[in-house]
Amino acid sequence: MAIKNERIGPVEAVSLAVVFIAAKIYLTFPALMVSLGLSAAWMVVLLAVLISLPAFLPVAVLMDKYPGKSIIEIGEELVGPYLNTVFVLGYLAFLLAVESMVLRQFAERILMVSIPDLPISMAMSGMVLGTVMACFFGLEAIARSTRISSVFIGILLVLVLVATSPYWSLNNLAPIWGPGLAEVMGSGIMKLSLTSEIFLLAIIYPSINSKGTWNMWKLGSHSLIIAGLILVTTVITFMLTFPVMVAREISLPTFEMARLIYFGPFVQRLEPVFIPMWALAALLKLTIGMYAMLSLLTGLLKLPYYRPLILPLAIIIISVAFIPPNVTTAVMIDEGIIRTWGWVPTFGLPVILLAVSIWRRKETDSGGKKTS
Amino acid sequence: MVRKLLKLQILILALLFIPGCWGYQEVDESAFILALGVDKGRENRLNLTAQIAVPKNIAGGGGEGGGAGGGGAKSTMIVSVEAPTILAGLELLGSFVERHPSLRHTKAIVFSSELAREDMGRYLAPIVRYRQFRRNTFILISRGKARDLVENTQPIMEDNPAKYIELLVGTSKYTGRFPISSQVHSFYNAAKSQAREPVAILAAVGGDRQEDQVGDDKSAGGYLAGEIPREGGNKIDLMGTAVFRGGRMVGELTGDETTVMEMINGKFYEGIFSVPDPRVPGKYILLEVQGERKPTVQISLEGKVPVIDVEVPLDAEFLSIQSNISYEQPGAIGEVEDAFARLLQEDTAVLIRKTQEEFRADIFGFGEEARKKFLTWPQWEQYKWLEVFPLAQVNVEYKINIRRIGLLRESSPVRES
Repeated sequence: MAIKNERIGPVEAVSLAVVFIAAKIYLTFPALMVSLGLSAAWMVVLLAVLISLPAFLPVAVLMDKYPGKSIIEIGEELVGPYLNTVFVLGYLAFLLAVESMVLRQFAERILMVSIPDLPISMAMSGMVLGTVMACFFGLEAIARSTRISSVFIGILLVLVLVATSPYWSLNNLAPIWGPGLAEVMGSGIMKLSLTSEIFLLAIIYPSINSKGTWNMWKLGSHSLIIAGLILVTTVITFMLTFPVMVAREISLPTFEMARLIYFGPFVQRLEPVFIPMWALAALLKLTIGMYAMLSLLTGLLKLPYYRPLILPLAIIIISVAFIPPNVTTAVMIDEGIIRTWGWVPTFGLPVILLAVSIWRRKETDSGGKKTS
Repeated sequence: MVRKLLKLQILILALLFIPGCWGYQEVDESAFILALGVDKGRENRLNLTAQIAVPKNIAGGGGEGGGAGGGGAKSTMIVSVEAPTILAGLELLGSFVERHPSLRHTKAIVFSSELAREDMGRYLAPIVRYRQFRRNTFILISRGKARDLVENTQPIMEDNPAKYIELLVGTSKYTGRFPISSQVHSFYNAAKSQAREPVAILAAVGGDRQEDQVGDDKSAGGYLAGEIPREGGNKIDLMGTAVFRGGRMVGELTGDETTVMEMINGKFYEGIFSVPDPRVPGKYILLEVQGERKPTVQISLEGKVPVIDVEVPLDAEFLSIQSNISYEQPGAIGEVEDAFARLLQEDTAVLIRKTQEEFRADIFGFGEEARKKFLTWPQWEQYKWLEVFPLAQVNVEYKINIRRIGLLRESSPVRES
């Protein structure tokens, strides 16, 4: 299947971006934020999301200057094929790191939570098999499935968050500044990469049928706001349920919240409701990430079809996922490296491209003809 | 066509992975532990007592499936083992129990007070990491051996011991005589907190003390578990609170003291109180009391010691006026409200003194209110609230409102013969 022939609507594109960003709530993300921001963890996340909006602006401006073109084509036009290759490898490295660490974490957590005897290779292979199948069906199928599934995932997530309300204590949000205002601000800025997955829109922009009303900024800002709302709400609810000293210990915050739900003898033990939602979100995130990588590879190698690359890419993702010796290392790589430096290829490189684009435009305007 | 078949084959292959064939376990291969007792064993070991469900007898139901004392099959099986840790003990159970022990349906974990006074935290904290263990399992502290408590957890009105435990613990909502939230979740949170100390339900084997209490003038809630003057029924008493500092038990509260604690905590739901008649000594006025709203707590940290002001609003309804005096009239209601408030103030004074001087434990969670006065976590940690609390000045005021008067609008005396 050729990527150029696939078309999705703006709402589906927003769904893809939101799920791609927000699926991390089903991993250790909320507990890591509490470790960082203590009782002000929600502020760290909110700040990171707010900063990501102006950080995304250069990407949006760049993409709208070249309608109908993906980030790869724009890069090749602006910086030439060789430097663009380096840029694309940067994007790929980010996506590969995210995909493999997320795959490893989800697989390990499935084992930890419900089926400890399952070999990790089988867990990861099963998830990747689902991802491979979805990629074979194409972007339209992925986007529509995501749009429909995100409604159910959202409803179940709200159910899990609200049902823990008997355990909420507003006092858990005190002291208001957590480790200190300066630390909170610094952490919020450092964690800009929490929303780096928004870069997906730059990859699939040519496939989005915007009908002239949805430009890149509108798509991106809507996605960031919705995903940010989900991230902040989940962290706040987690903090209301568990005090700081306990919250920072927990491996799977949303799972523990689901397990706590108790409304008498008949409404309890609701985590079976949570696990399919969790698994579905994991599958969608992996699928979207893999499709983004396929799109980049196809663009980089100037191939007409991406299907032949699916299986080799799947093998690469699983192989990289096996590199960390344990789940703690995988979490450390995710949090310490990807979520600290992920902004460089996703927000930083497009800024360079935009700067080149503006410089070239000035040269064209002043010289009256294009310079090389 | 070939492609469709290939996709179908891959989907079917994927389906094989979904149920997790490697990790499957039939329901009848698991021995579900409904209650787990932990006693101190010999030589730094633990003595674990597990009440394991016998599903076929629970499901059989009727008169035989119930439980204690009857001639029918018992719904549970009690086994004990000694081991260095709780999870090691569960593994040992597999040597002589034909099914694999599972904590997935454990309703209560019972620690003996002997073990709790040493250091319960080091046994409880590690099992929170275990995937089978749920944080909403109830914690009970047994005044005697935990083994005795588990062995005597034999329901009479229920077929299912798990349901019995759940219903029994749930009665605190209607009495307030033992803590309403004594789950591992709240205990663990408090044990790790720098703002409050944990509490747990006090339990004991009781049931045959009627003759011991001749001449005892304690109030209805003035007992500890195991001391209630009663006969018959289930063997387990739940009454009072075990108070901890961190993971170590430091004291006990009676039922009345627990009720006051719950009122101050804002967790009191409802209960019945016998208020001495303000005009006729020796007679009582029974009130059904409900927690109207959460108490308001004001804390001032400006002086040398913290000053804590608590206002507890309570609603009440007349259930019985033994003297038949018309206290329902607006002018007289205030007398009863004041009498009740005085009664509560006496119990409160005893409780506050105990918690500050004897236990040195903030079981009310005032520290969580105090924490709001600080802007940053390092400032809060530096204050060391749990060490400062015993010095605090605590003032508790009760706002009693008798809203309803029952089915009689006025009282008149019973004619004397």
